[in-house]
Amino acid sequence: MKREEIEQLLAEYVNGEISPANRRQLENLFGEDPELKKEADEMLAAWLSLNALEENIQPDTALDDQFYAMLQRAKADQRMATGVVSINKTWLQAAAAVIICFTAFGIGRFTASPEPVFKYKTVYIKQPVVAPVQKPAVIAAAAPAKPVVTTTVRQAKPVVVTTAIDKADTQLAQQLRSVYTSERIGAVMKIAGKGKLTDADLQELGMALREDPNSNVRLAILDALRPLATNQNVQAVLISAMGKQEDPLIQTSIVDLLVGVKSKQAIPQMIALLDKLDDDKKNPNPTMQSKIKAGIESFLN
Amino acid sequence: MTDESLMLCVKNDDLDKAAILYERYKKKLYQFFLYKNKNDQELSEDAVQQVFYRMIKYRKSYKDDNSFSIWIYGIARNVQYQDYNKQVKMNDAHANYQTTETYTFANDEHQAMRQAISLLPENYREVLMMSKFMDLKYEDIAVLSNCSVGVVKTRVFRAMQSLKEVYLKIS
Repeated sequence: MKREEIEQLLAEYVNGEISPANRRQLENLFGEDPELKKEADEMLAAWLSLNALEENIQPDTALDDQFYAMLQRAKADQRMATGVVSINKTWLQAAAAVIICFTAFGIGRFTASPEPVFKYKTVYIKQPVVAPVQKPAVIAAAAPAKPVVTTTVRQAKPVVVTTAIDKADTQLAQQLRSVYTSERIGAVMKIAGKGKLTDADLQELGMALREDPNSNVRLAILDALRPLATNQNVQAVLISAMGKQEDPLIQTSIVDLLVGVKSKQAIPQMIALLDKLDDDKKNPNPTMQSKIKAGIESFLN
Repeated sequence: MTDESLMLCVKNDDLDKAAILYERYKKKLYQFFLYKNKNDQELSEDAVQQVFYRMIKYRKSYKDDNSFSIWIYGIARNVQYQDYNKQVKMNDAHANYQTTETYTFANDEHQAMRQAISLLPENYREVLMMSKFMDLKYEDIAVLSNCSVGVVKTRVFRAMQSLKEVYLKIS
């Protein structure tokens, strides 16, 4: 074994880091060479003497004071750094919130419409109409204020009756303007069922005869007016409606009615209708024309 | 707790654990600097203080798989190196003054041993300090000294031989 290898084994031996195999190898060498054993013992003694030296050396207590003071400063710096970070974080959050608020306000201020926006939605509600009873009631109520009590009582009764009729008439008038054809026909039948037509009824029926879009309703009106065709007012209504009609069936019915009662007032309208039919080349109606001509001739004869 | 786990706590800002490490290593480091600084106690204490100051300041640079002994000794060597450079500059400034190196013959056995150690060559003294006073294994010393384990063992043996001779001369 080389000297250098032996020196390395001795270094391990004194330090206590020697492995069992190397220890056995070194002990074999000690057996072969007693001088090596002596050298190892002296070296081990010197090594162990350093232990006493190690125990004898102690730093001054001032070193401890300095270290712990330094440690306290480091901890204080650490706390301050942590606090500064948290304060900074809070300030940043607050600043961000303020900026967002101002930005949102600015965007809303400059992009919003100056006029308020409304969305309309029309809702139709079908409900029974309440009759206006105010004026007649007021008149009736005002009447008793007069000094003659008997007169007041006598006048009050017709007023109440008139109010009820008015209420019914108004309901029929409303029904005559219903969006449902069946209700309008029903209203016509109710008016016809009353027997005697008032001017208001006649006016409503005349308007419906001129304006109603459904021919069945108009035919129902003509049926209702047929028994009353001798009446001058009814004839006037029929005459005024005749020029408005486009449906030949309605026109024929009106002409029949007027011819039947020999209404001479209708002649100008019938002539106008005849001219109109003559001008209408697309839809010629010779039956209608001949009927009108026959009617006019019968008037003249 | 091991030194490494304590240092990990310090790294994670549990600075109270630094006190435990200080108590474990103050004496070793003090002895290391004492022999490096030729028994200058004040200089050695300042150096120890500087080592622990840097340990706390640069605690985040400690790596989890590092040996704490090696890491702290690396710091100690840097501190010693900077102190040495300062000393060299001071010596250069006083170069015009003639100084006489004197040996003190101490009666005290410990004093003689300290003097013998301080007279050892630098590479011998350092491995002796690291092995004996810092309790570093030969493998760790080899890593720190950037040499083989065999070289470290040889240096330790020769350091002990030289120490014996110098001690015998002094005493």
